[in-house]
Amino acid sequence: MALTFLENFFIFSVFASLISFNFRIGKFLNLSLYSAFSVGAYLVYFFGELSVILAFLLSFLIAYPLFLIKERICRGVMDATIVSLGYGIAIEEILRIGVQKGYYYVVSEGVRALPEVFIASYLLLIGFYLSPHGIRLKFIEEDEELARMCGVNSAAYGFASIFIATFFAILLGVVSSEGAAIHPRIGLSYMLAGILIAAIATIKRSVGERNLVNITAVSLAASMFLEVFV
Amino acid sequence: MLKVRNVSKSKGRVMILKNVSFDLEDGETLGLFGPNGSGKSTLMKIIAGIETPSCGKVFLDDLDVTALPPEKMVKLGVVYAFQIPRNFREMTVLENLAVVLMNYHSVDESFKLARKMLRDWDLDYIAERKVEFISHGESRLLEILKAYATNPRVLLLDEPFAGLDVENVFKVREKIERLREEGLTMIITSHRRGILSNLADRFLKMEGGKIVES
Amino acid sequence: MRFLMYVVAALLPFLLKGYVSWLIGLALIYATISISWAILENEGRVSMGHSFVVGSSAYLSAITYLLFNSLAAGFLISIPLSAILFYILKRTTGKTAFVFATFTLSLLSYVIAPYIVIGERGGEEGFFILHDLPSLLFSSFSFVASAIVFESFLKSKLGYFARAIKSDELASRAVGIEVEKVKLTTSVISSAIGSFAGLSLALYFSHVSPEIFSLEVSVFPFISYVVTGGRKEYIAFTSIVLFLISSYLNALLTGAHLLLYAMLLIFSPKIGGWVYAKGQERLKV
Repeated sequence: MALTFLENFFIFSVFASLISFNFRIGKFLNLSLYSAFSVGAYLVYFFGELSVILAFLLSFLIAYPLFLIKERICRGVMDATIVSLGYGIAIEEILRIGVQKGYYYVVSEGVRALPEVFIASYLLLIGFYLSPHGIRLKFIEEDEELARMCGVNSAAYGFASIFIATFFAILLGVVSSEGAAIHPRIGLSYMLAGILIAAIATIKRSVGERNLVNITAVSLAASMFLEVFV
Repeated sequence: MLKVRNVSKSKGRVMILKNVSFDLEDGETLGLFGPNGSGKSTLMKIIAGIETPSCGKVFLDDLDVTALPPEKMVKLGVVYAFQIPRNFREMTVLENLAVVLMNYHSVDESFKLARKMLRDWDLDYIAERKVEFISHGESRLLEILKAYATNPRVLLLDEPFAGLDVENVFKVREKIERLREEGLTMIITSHRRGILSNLADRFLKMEGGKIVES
Repeated sequence: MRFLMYVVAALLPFLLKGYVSWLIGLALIYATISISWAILENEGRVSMGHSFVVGSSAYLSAITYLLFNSLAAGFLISIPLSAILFYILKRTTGKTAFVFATFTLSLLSYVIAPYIVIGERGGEEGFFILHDLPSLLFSSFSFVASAIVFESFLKSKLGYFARAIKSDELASRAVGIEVEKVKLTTSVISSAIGSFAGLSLALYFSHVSPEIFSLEVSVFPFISYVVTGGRKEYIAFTSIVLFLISSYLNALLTGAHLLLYAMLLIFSPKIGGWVYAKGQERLKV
């Protein structure tokens, strides 16, 4: 876990909002996001600042096949979630086999832009909800089948949600790995925190940007809890 | 035998049932009819314990059975057959019936009894078929047979003729008539009174969540 | 016939020698985990957190062994612990949310396990159990006993009731099946078998580490189930074969077996149906 209270807060809120956004619009719990985070950590180790651009390209390469598999062979939320777990394990193992050596890599010079990533992700998500797309997103959140019947291209929004979630998960890995000994499973505990926070925030049953506000509040509480008790 | 007293049910701001009261005598068949959305199914589900009333009481032999869970109601002899048959999809027709009988008999006995019952109801030809591969009419008969297999005192048949063609309506009618001849107490709902003629001893008409004619 | 095959599988480690014997003994433990998982699946619950059942049993046994020199105490605590937790999850979640909840539970235990320290023992290294118990015999016995319980369960009232609940919970209640009782009982049986597997693992390695809560253990039964094409009565045998194949792959290239698992998970919606259809064709022939 990140060291400071603020770092924890930024990572928790971004991860939880990504998980929640992917779940509500993409209609599955994307368990491959922990691997995307790890990909980001390796990117920054090998490519330094260039990794921000590479993150964009890689997120497309990761998100699109997952989207295709989900659309073509999955029958529902459960299938897609299990598939995404397999996808995450596959990326993790590719990293382990292809990149990791017998020792840990330590990122000595990373990219310090965690607050910027936090602001960018929230601006993008809130902007998305407040734009003309927002009403369609909320429609999909509430009833995807009905939205599809009413002519909303829910598949396109679904892909966008997977892509955005993957992109920011990679970026999180890029900006929060400085000084860390990285390994292919480095994102797992962040994803776990994200899932728990997103689940707690869901209790209020808000949709759209209100849910993001709830996630921020729960993330703040979780970071304070860690600060005080751990 | 069964008394329904001032039962009301609201969902959000919508009142689905408004102060419904009636009695059902032992061995009597009551025909409950009315247009779609008049509250017939909700009333049946409340009696069977599948839904809980917002207020009001249901008595069985003067025992307050309001809001008892459905499995307890089955033990007391009140059984509900769903409007849209809810058979166990992953099982065969025989297993569907046997699993109900297992509440009262051993596994082997249940299978033996289930075979016999399917023969009696002329359904033995589909015994080994999974329920997803049987027709709607057969599915309906299986739903009623499952409810009957619990050895009920009061059988609640919710729209047993819905979605059936003429041939299957006759088949289902024939079975219900048989149950009536056995002296079983029943409530049967339908949105048309005509289809219940000769099946019920008494009729109640529901409209807008109320009994408007008896 | 299947009973005979269970006995043969359990005897194999005693008939063979060296590494192969050791490996098959371990495969029997994984098959026991799959049996424990399949009992929940029979009720329509897909657990992605079975490593919790196995791991908590192993960890608690190791801890009580360290503190009180008693393996049984921890093992006995773990059965109700897992059973109650899984029962609560069943009560509070639907089928899909159960997958998320159990997965989160397994992740949570995986993350917390390295922080379990007693005295100066535990942590990332885990706990050692120095014993002279016949661990292979224990694993084989646990496997056969679990398999017999499983087969009896499938043919029992409880097994049929569970299948009815899997199909339609409300319809089950409407014909008088006491759903909550069935859920609790299946949780207890599944946890008891899973706990046996956990204790077997702890004894087999004379050691438990946080890796026992890992994703691999959690997804293994599901993958075995996918490979059987949904025929849970064969899950024990599939698990043994799958475990042996993955050990071989892992020996060729470290982590290769996880790539296999990943592929099976990714294509699980297709593979299950395909294997099932092929099986049906064979049966017709």
